[in-house]
Amino acid sequence: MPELKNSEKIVWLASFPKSGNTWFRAFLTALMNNGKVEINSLKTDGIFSDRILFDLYAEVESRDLTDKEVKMMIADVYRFYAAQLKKLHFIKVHDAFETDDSGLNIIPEDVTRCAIYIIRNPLDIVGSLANHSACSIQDAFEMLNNHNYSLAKQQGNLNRNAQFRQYVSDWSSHVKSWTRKPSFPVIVIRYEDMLTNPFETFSKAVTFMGLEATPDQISAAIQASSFEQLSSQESEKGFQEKTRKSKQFFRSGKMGIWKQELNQEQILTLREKHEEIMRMYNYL
Amino acid sequence: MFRYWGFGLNILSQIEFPELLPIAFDKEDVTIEIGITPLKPEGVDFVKRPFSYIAEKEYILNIRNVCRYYAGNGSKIIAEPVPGIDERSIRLFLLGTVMAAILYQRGSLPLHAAAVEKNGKLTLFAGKSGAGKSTLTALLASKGYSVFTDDICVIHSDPEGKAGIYCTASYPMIKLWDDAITQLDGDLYTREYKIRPELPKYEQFFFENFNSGQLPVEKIFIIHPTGLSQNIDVIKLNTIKSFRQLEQQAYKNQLILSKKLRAVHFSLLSKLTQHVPVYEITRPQVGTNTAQLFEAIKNLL
Repeated sequence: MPELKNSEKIVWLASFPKSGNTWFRAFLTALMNNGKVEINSLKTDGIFSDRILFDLYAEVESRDLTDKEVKMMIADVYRFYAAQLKKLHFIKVHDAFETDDSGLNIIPEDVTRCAIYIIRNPLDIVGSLANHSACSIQDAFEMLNNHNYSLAKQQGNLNRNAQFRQYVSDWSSHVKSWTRKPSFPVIVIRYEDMLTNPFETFSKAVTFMGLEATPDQISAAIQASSFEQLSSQESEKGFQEKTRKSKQFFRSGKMGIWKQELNQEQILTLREKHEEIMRMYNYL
Repeated sequence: MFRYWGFGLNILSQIEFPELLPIAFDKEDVTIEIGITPLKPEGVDFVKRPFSYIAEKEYILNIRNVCRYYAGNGSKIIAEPVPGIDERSIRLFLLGTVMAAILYQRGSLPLHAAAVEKNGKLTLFAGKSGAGKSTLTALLASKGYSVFTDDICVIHSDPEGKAGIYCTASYPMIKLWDDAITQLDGDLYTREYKIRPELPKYEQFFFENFNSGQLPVEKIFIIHPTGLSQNIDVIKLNTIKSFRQLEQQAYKNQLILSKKLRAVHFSLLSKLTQHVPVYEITRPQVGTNTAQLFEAIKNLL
């Protein structure tokens, strides 16, 4: 990849949790690594909510800061971080594209090249989220509808875990935040298209990010990051991004599982609550 | 004005510091005042970081919505608080990062370590924030050790030129999280003074047994929580590894810029690793309690 001359050095890999972000990162890893993926050393560049990275650059302990204070500082940490980079970095993010208490975006737009927003049918996210969080289908269903839904929330809004609290919001609000608010280019990639039409879908993302890759390299990366490959690696060696509570990270990788997992009321409620966005992305 | 001892220095301060040791002195080493901080360092030779400017003899730190700080020439601190901010918050960052800047400007080596004392000798527990230094130190206080310092140990050569490495404490206070107090003997520690109004972390003072002298270092443990560890493991490091690891434990080592300062640290750490055994404790990121940590090292203490 040619050395970057301008300040736009970050590509955000944004998604609501359990929407295919890890799969996309595995694809990128394979693409940058001659078609090889080792799930426990993905070659993308960490997660936005990484507390260790923040502490390295902020010179004060984030443990001594409130969540609100961290959110007011984090964009500047990434500006500084980006200024040190010699090549494009791909950073996962589950936070909604929101503002801090003073009204400034927590994501620094000026150092961003673009964002890949990975979207998945919310009906299918429910079961996957329940598996990941080791909670009931009903609890996961409520998370998707909860406007205040946060990941890695810590008691008293403290900052003591490896990741900061991530304000995700409900599914529709998350999609809207990333697709309507940023001033940088955002492409929406459907999980279902990654599954049913992988070559065209991944090629589109590669072109959008401005990466150079031949059709053969893209095909090889798709092959190396297939669900079967990732899942078999997890069975063999485990996966460090799996939560302690969850049995396995890579569950089924299919679409339409919701038909077996959700009850009628849950289906109707999700469709009603998220109708606008579900229609927009052909889930209705 | 208030007069205190802290970090081995005589401090004359406009701000009251309940954390520091009140003493009388004629000549101060450091002054602390409330005032207007410079926008940036005077010279052109400085590094700009997200919230700070670092030059060899100047440091400016801006914590949005809390306070802006200036540390100059190893002898002067100016705090410019945001109107309405509580004093605890102003003091917390001043006694951490800003004092570290002062110590570096003076050519000292503040190590990110807690220490306990027994028979006039020190055992240091180094490690990043959250490693468990303070809680282990607090536990050892109930097992025949005296708490010497929490969080920062100032390292120096023997003032009389003898072999060995000596340490000065920061100040007579240890900070414990709410859950650490629960884990330890609750009667010994209080939840009276929060370090910041928003945080359930509490100041524990030990003025009565405080030792502000320079004591020799007997051994060092470096605590590393890691996601990859399943168990608590303790290994003795060889000299080279000890040096490398301790170099990383310099408090806020991002602030160390000058070659001169690096050379001073190199010499101190070389001497330290030649004379003092260094052990590395790796422990799981979550699920380790302090009693288990103590069990793992008690034979080495």
